[in-house]
Formats: sequence, structure tokens, C-alpha cells
Amino acid sequence: MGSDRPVSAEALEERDLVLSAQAGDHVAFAGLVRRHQRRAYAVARAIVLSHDDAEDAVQEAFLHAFRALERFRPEQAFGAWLHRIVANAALDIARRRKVRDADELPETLSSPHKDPAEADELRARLARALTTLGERQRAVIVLHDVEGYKHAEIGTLLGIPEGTARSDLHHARTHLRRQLSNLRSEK
Amino acid sequence: MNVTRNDDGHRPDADPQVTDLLRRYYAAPQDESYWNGFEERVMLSVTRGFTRMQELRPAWWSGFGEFHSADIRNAGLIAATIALLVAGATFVRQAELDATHRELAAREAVESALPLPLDDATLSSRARLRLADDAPERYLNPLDY
Repeated sequence: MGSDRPVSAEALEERDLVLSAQAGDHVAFAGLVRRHQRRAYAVARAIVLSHDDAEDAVQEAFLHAFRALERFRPEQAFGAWLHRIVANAALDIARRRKVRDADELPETLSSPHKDPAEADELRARLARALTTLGERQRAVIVLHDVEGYKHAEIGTLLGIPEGTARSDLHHARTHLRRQLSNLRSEK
Repeated sequence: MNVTRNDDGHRPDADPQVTDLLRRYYAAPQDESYWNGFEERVMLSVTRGFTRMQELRPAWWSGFGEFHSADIRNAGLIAATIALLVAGATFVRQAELDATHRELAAREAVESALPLPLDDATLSSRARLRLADDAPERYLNPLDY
């Protein structure tokens, strides 16, 4: 009949949080935010170009999730459901940003959490190289090489076939390696 | 989503240096206070968004408040006209039904007052009834008889 997989205490706790949040408990929803905000940020950050936009995407995504919570079935994985929402919110922001900032230079990328490496030349070159990648290829390489998602998972998140994620990754890696090779040979 | 680690950027087409650079570039803030603050901001936006949604969601009766007196008058006139037409149509229909019933009742009364149908013998004798030879004379000059 049903799945006989053992359910972890963490999963049960999350299920309780979801059920309470569905009943209108804001504290329970805050618990879900606490559990998932880092991963949600990582997904959003892989898709948008800046830290600010990633924060906006995560906030929008949690708001969407809260509004849509009554339609969520607790037997599903909350994380997978949420990350789809985050990815969609981030893709939406990235598209809006592309239209709005079409003429802006890549140097306008911001990282307000004040990473000291921001001024680093290699970092700046990487930032520029990333902007020359297509939006989807950039998301794929970050989700795969930075966040550790598999091709199938990336396909699900971005709404693309697994094969497309695989070829996007190959093109993105080749492109970045070529873009950054000069600088590294100079060093 | 339970993330399963992939090849960790060590595939032949992956440059470990680029991968490492990407990981440093995309590293999420490590400061715990950042995440606490972020959670608060998320919850604030959720609460605000939820409140705004509640305000925007109209109650079923709220539509009535938007009616002006002219709207009410027009709606009333339209409703009264429709009611009048419906009442008129119903009256005409009822009158037709009554007339039909009356006609049926009258016919039934007439039919019930008539004698029972004559049997064949009577009918045949009546058919063969012959007048006396002088009958026309008697009818024309009854005083002579």
C-alpha cells in the first residue's frame, strides 16, 4: 500500500510545522522559514545576479508559499515544493531585471553582506564572465557546481529537461574556463 | 528538496579552480545574526502580505456598499418591470387554462346529460319507420282530421 520508508523525526517535525502553518499558525510558518531560508537563498542566488535580488526572490517566494499553503499536501516534500516556488520567483526577478537593466554594466553587481573579496580582481572578472553567460546556463552551473544539485533536480527546479541541464552545464563550464584562463595565466 | 551531491565539479570539463572561485563567489552569508534578521524580514513581509490580502479580499456583502441611490433606483425599476411582465404572462396563462377547464367541464356536463346510445334494433327500426300515406295531409290541414 503506502511507502514503508522510515520517516525521520525531522520530517515528522516539519510535517507538524506545515500542518500548524496551514491552520494559520504564523510561528509554525516562521519555523519553516528558519529551516529552509538558507537553501532557498542558495537556489535564488544561483538564478539572479545579485544578493539583493536573491533576498527579494526568497521573500516573495515565502509569501507565495504562505498564500498557497492550503493547497500544499503535507505528504509532499515541503523543501522541493518551496524550492520550485523560489526558482520561479528568482526567474521572474531575473527577467524583470534584464528588461530594466539592459544597458547597465556588470560592475553594478552588488553584494551587501560585505564580502571582503568583492574587490578582488579575479572575483570581478568572474562577475563579468557570469554576466556573459545565459541566465539559464549560469543558474545550471551554480546549482550544480556550487550547490551540488544533480541534473534531474536542476531540470525540475528550472522546468527544463535533464538533458538540457546537462548540456547547459557543459557550455557554461567551457565558457567560464575560457573567460578566466587569461587572468589565471597572468597571475 | 534533498540535494544529492553530484560529481562535485570534478568532471573532465570542470575546472577545479573555476569551481572553487564560483563557490567562494556564491557563498551564502555565514553570520548567524544575518539569518536571524533575514527570517524576521521574511516573516514581516509574509505578515504584511497576508494582512493586505485579507483587506483586499472582499466580503460577500461589501458589494452592496458600492451601490448609489441611482443604481438602486434603476435596479428597482428593472426588477419591477421584470416582475410585472412575469405576473402578466402568468395571468394570461392562467386565464387560458381556466377557459380550457371551463370548456371541458361544460362538454362533460352536456355529454353526461345525453341518453345512452340506442341499441341496433332501435336504430334499425327507426331507420325503417314509414309514415302513413295521409300523414303529409294531416300535418298540413290538421283541422280536417
